[in-house]
Amino acid sequence: MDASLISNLALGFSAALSLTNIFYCFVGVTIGTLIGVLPGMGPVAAVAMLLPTTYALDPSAALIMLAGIYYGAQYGASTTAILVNIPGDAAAIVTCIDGHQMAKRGHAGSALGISAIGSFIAGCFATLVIAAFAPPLTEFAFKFGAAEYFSLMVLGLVGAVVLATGSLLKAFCMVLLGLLLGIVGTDVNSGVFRFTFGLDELQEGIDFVPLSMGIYGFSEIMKNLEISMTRDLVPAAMSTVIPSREELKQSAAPIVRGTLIGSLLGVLPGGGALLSSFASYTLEKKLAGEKANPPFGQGNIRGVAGPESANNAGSQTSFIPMLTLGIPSNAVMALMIGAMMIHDIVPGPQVMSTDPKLFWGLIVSMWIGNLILIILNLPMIRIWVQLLRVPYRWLYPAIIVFCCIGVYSINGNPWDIWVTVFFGFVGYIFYKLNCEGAPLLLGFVLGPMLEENLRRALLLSRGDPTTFLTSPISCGLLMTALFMILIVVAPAIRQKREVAFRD
Amino acid sequence: MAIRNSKDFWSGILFAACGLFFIVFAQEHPMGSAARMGPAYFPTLLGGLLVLLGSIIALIGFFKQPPMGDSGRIEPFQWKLLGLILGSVVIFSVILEFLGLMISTAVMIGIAALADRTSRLKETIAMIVILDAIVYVAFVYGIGMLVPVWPAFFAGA
Repeated sequence: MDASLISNLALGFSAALSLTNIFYCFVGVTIGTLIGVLPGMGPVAAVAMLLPTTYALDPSAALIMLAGIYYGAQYGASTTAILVNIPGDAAAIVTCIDGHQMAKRGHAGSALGISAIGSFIAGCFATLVIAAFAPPLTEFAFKFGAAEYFSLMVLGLVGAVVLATGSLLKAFCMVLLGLLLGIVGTDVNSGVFRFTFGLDELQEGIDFVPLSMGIYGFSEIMKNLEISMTRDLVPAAMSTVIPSREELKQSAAPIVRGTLIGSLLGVLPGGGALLSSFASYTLEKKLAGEKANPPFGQGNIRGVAGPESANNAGSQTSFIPMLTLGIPSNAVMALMIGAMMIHDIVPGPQVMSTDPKLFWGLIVSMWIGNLILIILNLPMIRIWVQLLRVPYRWLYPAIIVFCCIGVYSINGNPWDIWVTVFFGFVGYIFYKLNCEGAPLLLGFVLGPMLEENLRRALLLSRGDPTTFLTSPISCGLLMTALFMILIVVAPAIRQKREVAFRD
Repeated sequence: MAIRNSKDFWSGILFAACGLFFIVFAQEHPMGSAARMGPAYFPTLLGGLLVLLGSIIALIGFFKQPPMGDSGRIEPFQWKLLGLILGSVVIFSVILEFLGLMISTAVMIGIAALADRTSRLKETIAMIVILDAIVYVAFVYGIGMLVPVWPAFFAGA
């Protein structure tokens, strides 16, 4: 650990420990947990819905609060996964498998406890990982020219496509559609209005918040109402949330392994919590083998400890590409980028030097947020459990109200509400057609940047497209992207992927 | 011959149509060359890719059986649900500036609540009261949103 790491962290602590920032961190994780626990809303919808409420805050407080909402919601999602077998978020799907079985056998408390402890340990480690790797990566990113950036974004988008759950081709189309929607508005190079159809409101482009709120918030509501939510509640009497010594001993190794896997996979483009938790579960299951007692799938605590640590570590290290390169690796990071741009911060490697307090404050706030989460959750878990009983018919009108007024408050213009309604409808169509929204959102955020860098790279090379292959960095990135596609297309692995996502 | 997997088929058609849409309207602007791209270059490129991939998806959807456990059929749209949810929001946006935040919010909740068959009148009224109170505290008092709170004809009284 070198001196600069410590001084950077010290700067972060001084920023994150200011009273206002602690307050917003607390508000963020509390609201996040609340939303994560409530039925029918995952982290993406939570962040999208609350984006407008952070407009009035200063940038660091806003980002700290949004980050808090994100990992708070993930935390809440695990609670519902264990207690009612409903994953609030895709990353909590594997937690359902053994966590809910534990709850059925009367060990709900231990499952919740170990997931909290594992997440906390993973969160602490991931914070250090970010602090250690962000500066060198930023340094590296400054060497990037237009060609390298273009290839990096292509890699990021391909990563997102490869990890989408449905068909690869459809996900590619969603990215393309996102990119196209992203460039609606004034073209920065020529100043002409593209695809605005004479509407003044479109000259600035399609606003990020209404789009994401429509696709994630509104269409989610209609989806939930359609499948009329029935939940099998486990009214398990929870004696204690402190796991026994034996359980802790069993979980120690999976927590360490999960933390490492998560920290590593979170950084990958398209990676993050989802990939990490699946990988950790598969690993733990393999390591435990046939002799596992109880067998995996029937309430083995290792099947909770590993993935829960991994998804928390992964969701935190997925901030690395966002913070250092300005490239979102998943839908939530796309929202974070959107939030930065709203506050006039240009995402990219320069953020660390131009806004060191914001940068390090955000990183340290994640550690503080994890601490608040563990304090908030373990003693108060019974209160959260009560929330599980709130019927959906009370919730969705509240969601609609907050989305609508939130969207309206951005510009004080009904136009934004109409855009939300439009994309709510579009999101509903995509749901009916089995098309995933995340790739579209990533494409939307990256659209303008991708075009800009493509233009610049080809201008410099006088129109010669081989420029993307002659630069070693760019070539390497593109080869990695190609490799990722090949892996998924290869039949043997494709089958495995489908199995993994079906579990 | 019937379409084997209509979900894929129609997604493909939809993607291709979107691609075509962007290509067509991009042509209002100069294309430029690879070295000096005009505003039409990038959208045409992407639109072309979208048409290509969309057509492939549509073709596959036409000829290939959907995977096991998936009928490939598109579940019918629940127009009533869509109308009530999205309609409540549109009505909110239209009446907001005339009737003010409180009444518009109440109307929106009232309409949206009809979308759930299990909703009850008493609960809806309770929700209107509670949410209106929260909205007032959070948005009007809290962040000082600039919006008429009460109907314009109330303001004088």
